[in-house]
Amino acid sequence: MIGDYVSKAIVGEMSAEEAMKAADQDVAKLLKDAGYVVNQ
Amino acid sequence: MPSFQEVSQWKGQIIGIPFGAYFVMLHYRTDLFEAAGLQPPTTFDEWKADAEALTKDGMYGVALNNQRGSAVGQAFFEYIFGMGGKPFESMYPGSPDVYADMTPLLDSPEAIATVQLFVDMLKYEPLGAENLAWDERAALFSTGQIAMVSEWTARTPGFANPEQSVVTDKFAATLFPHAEGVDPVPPLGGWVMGINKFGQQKDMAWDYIKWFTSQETHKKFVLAGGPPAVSPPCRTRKWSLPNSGYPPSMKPRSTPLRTAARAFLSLLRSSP
Repeated sequence: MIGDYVSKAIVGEMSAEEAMKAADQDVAKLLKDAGYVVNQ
Repeated sequence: MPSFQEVSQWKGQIIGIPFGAYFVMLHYRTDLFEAAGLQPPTTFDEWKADAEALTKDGMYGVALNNQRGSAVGQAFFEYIFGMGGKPFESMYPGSPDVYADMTPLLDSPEAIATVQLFVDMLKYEPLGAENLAWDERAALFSTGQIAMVSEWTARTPGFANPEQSVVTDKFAATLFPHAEGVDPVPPLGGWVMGINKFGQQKDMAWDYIKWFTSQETHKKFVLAGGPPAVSPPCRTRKWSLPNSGYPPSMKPRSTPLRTAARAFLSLLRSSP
């Protein structure tokens, strides 16, 4: 998932900031759903 | 190497047997650097400047692990610590429990700067660099098409092997660059052997692991070019390897391998 978003920045589909903000949200949800401690 | 042993454990249980450890190091073309009057970079800014200076006349400065998915995902984890950031709240060098707080910090200024660095470096990479991964980058370096490559030291012997490389005596290795003011954090990787819980022949698998990780077999593995499980490589006197105590793949008989071995040992001494 992180690699997909970083790639979007590299190929110009998103800016680095847009890509990583989106990655942060998606990864937080994924980890929270999996039972990890996520304070967000 | 304690940090390599830790990656083979989960919740206090040993879940695999580590047998090969290696680091990411910056491999660079000594002939090109000397001709351009450049020093090998220590910071990301110097790295970028060197890549810009060396991108000319058909030569490219670098090639990064840009390929979508696990390749560029791994690259992000290799660079984020050197940028002064961390991917998750409890995930940092020396953390007592990397999974204690998995709050992602992927939109931190350091994380964004890491990705922006990847974007900025595209100017100094070959055409199609967006789809490069480990093998392609190693091939570009060993065929003399790029001036620098940050690669796992498991590939260093290949760069020095005349059957696989045209830059055997034209490269050296040094520490992975980092942001100004940030301590270097060389990525550690390696191989771990485990047994599938659903396997039908667990006893045989365990016998194989014991055989493969035995000193005698591991010596043959290293002599054939495999990364050593002990640190420094083959230092133990029991091995009694000729000349230096290094396997041929790491024997510091030439400048590239000598600098790689020296930097490798330096990393091991500083490894937590």
